[in-house]
Amino acid sequence: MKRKLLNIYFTAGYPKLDSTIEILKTLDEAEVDFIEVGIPYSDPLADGPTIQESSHRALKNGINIETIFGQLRRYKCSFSELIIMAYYNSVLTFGMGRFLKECKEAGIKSLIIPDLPLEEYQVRHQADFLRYGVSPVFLVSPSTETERIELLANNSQPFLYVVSSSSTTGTSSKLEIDREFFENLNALDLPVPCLTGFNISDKESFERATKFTDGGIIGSAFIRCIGAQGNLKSNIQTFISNFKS
Amino acid sequence: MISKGYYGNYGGAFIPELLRPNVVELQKAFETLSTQEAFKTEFYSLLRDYVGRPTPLYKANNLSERFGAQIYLKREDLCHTGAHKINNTLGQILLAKHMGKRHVIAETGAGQHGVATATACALMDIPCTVYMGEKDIARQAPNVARMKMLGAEVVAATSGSKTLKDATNEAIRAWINRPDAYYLIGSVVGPHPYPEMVAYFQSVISDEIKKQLNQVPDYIIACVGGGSNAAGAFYHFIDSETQLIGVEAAGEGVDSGKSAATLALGTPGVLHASYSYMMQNEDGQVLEPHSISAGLDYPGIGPLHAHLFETGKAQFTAITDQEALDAALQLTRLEGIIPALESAHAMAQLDKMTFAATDIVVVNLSGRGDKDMSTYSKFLDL
Ligand SMILES: Cc1ncc(COP(=O)(O)O)c(C=O)c1O
Repeated sequence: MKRKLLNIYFTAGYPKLDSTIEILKTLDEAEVDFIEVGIPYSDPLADGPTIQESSHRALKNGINIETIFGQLRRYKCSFSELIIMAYYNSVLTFGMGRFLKECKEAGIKSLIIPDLPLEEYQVRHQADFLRYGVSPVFLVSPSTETERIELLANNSQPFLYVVSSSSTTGTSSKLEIDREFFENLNALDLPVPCLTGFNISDKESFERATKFTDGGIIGSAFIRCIGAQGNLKSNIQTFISNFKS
Repeated sequence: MISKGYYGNYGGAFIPELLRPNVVELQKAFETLSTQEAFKTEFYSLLRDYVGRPTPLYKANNLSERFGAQIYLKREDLCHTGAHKINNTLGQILLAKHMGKRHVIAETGAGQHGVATATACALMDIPCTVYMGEKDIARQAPNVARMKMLGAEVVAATSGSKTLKDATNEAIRAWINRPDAYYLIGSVVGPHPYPEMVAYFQSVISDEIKKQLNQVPDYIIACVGGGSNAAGAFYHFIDSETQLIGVEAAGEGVDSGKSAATLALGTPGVLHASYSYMMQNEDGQVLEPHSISAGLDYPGIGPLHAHLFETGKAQFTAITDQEALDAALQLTRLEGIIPALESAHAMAQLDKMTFAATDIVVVNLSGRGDKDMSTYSKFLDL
């Protein structure tokens, strides 16, 4: 069986303003496939309480977009591929062109904007994305029709983000898998790998979530890990080795 | 004026993909039902027999004398439940019923929309959950009790500024987690089709003004939180001779750092899935607004108003907490009408203007003041 891809999300500037580089470095050394850096936003609509709280704390720590790009430029991953996750208003107000240019300079090739629909992306921003060599990552859920899944997958790089069930992030402690949906998804001949996200908290739920996909995305559970007492680096190492064992 | 969910540059539906099926379903249902005669008949008979419409257009003689103009009050405060909000909730609950929805989610600021939603849900026997900022739960206590008596579950929003913005965030999150529910939004905000739909249901206000006045007024003045009562009062007068004036909440002053005057302080951005003006910092973080009035304590504004603002088709001003309190007292003493704090902002605008004696001025009195008695008691030393 093929090894499942592991994608770890964390909120930049949490738990401390300058935690970003240590987190990146530890995840990179632990050979995590993708690292998703979240730009903290005051009103994260698609997120549950854990990521809301981390965003709130990060903003209180004084993080802003310029600081984050500064941090990202200072550490180059040797294994992991970096992805940025930002709400549309953050990017829009910072300036889409300026944001994409910063991505390019930091070696980031993909961007998740959960509240930017494909159609608006195509009309307003696709040209800029192409210019800076950045690709969007789109989300689908069990309520997305097959044709639209194919459309979104065709526009998504390096993977398609498959939300396990209709929910905000980390809202439910129980991962529910819509088996029929995932079997159908698996049967589609999509051009990019599918990664399952939302409500994966441990090895067991990771295995269930990725049974029909190419990998999984862990967010809230990892935020709880970096927010916990003790040594940040060893907490992360223990957390990742649980998933990799 | 609206094309595919946009008023000029403003509007749209910046929703997570997860909400797309819900929003598309709603767009289709609204498009189909709003043009059906049977639906309109059902809606208008509820407005007449249940809400008590048409509401009077009252010629306020004492105010007229005081300001030297012909001043009329559109008495939305006389609607069942005490504010214009019920016009919209009845329209949307009929839509929800036709869509076969078995649960309703709503947000509320002053609690008027929450009460109007709980009322519509009681009438149609649909359970509902209302999200309300913790701060607003404290300052609008009578409305919390009314919602509970009507059978609604009231959930406190404890994030951010603990006011309307945060209640709306929680309601949208609840909708993501419960896609089978109907989200009944309370103003001309949120993703398309909400701004268009809420304006449509509220347009009955200006439709009645037109018939009642029998001539075109010189001014229409309405307060603006998200902008639904203003949208309703302006609707049939947009592109007419009438000067439309929207009144935002200046809080402690537009430049005090404690204000909710979105058009004075804001810049374009996406809040609650709609592209419009909003109060934000240079990194796009939403700023916490302030107003003494819970219904105006919102850092955004509907896309229709952003468009009217930019094209100069309406003027927007801002009234401070103190000016609103003074105007509320003045209206009460001159006409024997205690207005909602929101509506008191519209009343206060009269003091800022100079009129010709023949000028016809309509002020949309969006709601009554019962819910605000504790604030009035405190600040007016009653
Ligand atoms: C009486 C009254 N007027 C006005 C408003 C503001 O809302 P909108 O701007 O949508 O009319 C509210 C909101 O709670 C209200 O209760």
